Amino acid sequence: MDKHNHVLEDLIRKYERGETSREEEQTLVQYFTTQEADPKYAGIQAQFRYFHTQQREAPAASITLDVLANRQQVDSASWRYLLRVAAVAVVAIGIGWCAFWYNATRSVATGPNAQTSIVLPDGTKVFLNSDTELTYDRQFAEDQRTVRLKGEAYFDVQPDAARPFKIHAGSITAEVLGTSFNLRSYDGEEFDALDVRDGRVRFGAAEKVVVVRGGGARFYRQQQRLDTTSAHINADAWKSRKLTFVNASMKDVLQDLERFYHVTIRATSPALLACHFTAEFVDTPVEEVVEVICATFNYRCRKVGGTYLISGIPCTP
Amino acid sequence: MRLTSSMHSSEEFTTRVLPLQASMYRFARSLLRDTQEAEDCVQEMLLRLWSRREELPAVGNITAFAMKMTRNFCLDKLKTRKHVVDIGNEVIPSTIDVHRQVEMNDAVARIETIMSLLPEQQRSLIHLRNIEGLEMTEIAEVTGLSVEHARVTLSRARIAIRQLYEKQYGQA
Repeated sequence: MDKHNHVLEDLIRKYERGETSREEEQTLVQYFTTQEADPKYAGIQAQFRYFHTQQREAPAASITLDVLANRQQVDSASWRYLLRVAAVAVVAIGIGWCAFWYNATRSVATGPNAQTSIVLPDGTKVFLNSDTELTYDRQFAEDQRTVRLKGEAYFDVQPDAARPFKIHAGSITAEVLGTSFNLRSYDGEEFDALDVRDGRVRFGAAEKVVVVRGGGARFYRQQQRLDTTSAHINADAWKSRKLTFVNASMKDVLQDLERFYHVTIRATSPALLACHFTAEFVDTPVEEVVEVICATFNYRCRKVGGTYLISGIPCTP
Repeated sequence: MRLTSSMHSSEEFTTRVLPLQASMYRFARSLLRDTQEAEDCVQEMLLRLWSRREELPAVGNITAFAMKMTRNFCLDKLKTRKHVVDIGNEVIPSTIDVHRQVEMNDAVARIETIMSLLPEQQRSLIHLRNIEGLEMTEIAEVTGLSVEHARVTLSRARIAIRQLYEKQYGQA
């Protein structure tokens, strides 16, 4: 009896680590659905019974080939009708819109925890990060499109060869024809940062540089120095909620995580930072990201106070 | 020539895709929390797979492919939906004897509630592994996670279920 319990206990722990094979899980299902287990396993027993009942659920009617072939014919006929309805709706909405525009200058601002996006009169899409303000004219000039930025925004500029798109941010300007890029210019930071995803942007203060797709530039305010670099892959993570690491050094990974989640992460030994990591996280909470990193390298991760601490044996290069 | 090839793909479809509809239905239902919508979803997915049946031989793992389509479709649907909490779909176990049914109902209903409290990714992982019995590599393909990430998240979900149960209903 004792030995049996010991085996069961180990199996349950293995199950909760996510390491059981399907056969082992079947053993647990068998055990918990054919008898009353010890009350201390109530939570586990309930789970397995639930899963067992759920496996039997099936839809009311089974779909066959005839059903599918028939539906395919019906669908193509209703499409044309829907298109006509949609066209009428678009015209009606368009008439309503014209009533809106009257103010000369418009501005959009976000608070500390908000993000928003707007579409400018020329079709350019702008995504604003928190604590950001964007000011623009209701109607852009004939030869130029001008906006003012304070904070951080991602721009998806509508191509218009006749009218360059110009952003004023503090002492720098960024001038584009049609492109997608991230521009960061917060008060109190060391530099203004540009990261270009697509297209070409002319960026700088007194001295300017042209940055193309995949490139980036930094204007250091104190030194008034302009540096070019490659675009930071996670520069617009705040907007996409996606963190991408491609053979990134752990040092860079932790830096990006600190910036994106506003947390502090420390490695107990600098050698740990030499490992390289490849992964992609979408909308993932920071605890989970840290767990995945630790599972991948077999590190030990703890949270002490508000800081994450990573320790362990560094991977061999 | 063409007739032969479409005959073959019909057969392929019947033997490899149609049998997946029960799994797809259960998965869609766990995501959408609605029987009718889940049935509609499955029909839509099968229709799409049917219209692309010629390309199916090129797909590696059809189970993972079909379940991935189902999940993406359901998640898109959920995004456009307003927040309506639906606790109307009570789970009723089907082939268990009456005496057991009463105690089963309790545990089952409780876990059903707990599952609805988990974040979608955790819920999906539990469903795909514990209910549909997919391999971790298949699950990784369906969710777009690495196998390691999937394992870590599955572990968290399993622990969360037990802890939530113990917190709500004690250990007695």
